[in-house]
Amino acid sequence: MSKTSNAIRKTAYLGSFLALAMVLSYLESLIPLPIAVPGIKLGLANGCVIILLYVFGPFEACSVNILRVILTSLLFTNLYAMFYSLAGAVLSLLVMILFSKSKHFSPIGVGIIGGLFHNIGQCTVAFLVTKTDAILGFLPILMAAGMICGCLTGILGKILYPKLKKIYSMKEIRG
Amino acid sequence: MKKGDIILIGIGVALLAFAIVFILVRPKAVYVAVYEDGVLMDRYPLNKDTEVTIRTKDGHWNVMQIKDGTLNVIEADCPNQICVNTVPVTKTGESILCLPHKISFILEQ
Repeated sequence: MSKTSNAIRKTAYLGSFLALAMVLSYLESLIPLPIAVPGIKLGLANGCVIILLYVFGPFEACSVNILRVILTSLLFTNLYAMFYSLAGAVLSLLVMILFSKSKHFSPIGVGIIGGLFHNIGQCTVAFLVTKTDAILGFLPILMAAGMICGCLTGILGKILYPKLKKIYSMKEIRG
Repeated sequence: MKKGDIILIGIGVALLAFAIVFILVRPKAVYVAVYEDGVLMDRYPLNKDTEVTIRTKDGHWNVMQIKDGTLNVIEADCPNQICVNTVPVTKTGESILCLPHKISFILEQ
């Protein structure tokens, strides 16, 4: 199979992953979680990113996730929300890439650490913007919630990854 | 499931326990302090029922309500309405934040 058609196929796959991640982000914003602390969400789109990280690699996962944050912020929320999301997304991605390289962690561990650092990143930016100590009071709760939700998305990634990997590599061989 | 995962889950469980204890041991608050951009604007006692409209420097507003010792933000012209959707708070150290307006309502002793 030629190099070009492989690249085209990859572009199409990544495009559909980006669309999926955006839809998941949007769906999530429609589900209000009745929790006292603002900023707790499932992070379904992160499950998408974990799969990308394993099937394609860090570069593809990064580009899809950053594009997702920018596009969903522009479409559904506003620019100030983009800062918070980007801070969380970039920090959690960096840590997830590191952990996915390690032999000691499966996608579940990667999801947990991703959720944890996503919330740490967002909290830090919120603290820097508002200079309010009270935000740090949310941190233990947000960290725990991030780890629980990250564990769920990690399980999702672990279940889906082998199936998606098979589809991708099969098509690659067939041309 | 690998060894590292199990260690992480352990840390997560410990953190969750800590968060729960952290919430439970807080005493009831006496005052609500309103900050704009980190600067104290005013204090209101929690034992007096009242409704106050807080106006920011650039003309935005949040309406806070004190009722039966609990603080609630009932209305605001911010885009995300997170402060309005935050459940009422009553304990020291708890807070309601409006990040778009850089307003924070913090419960203090």
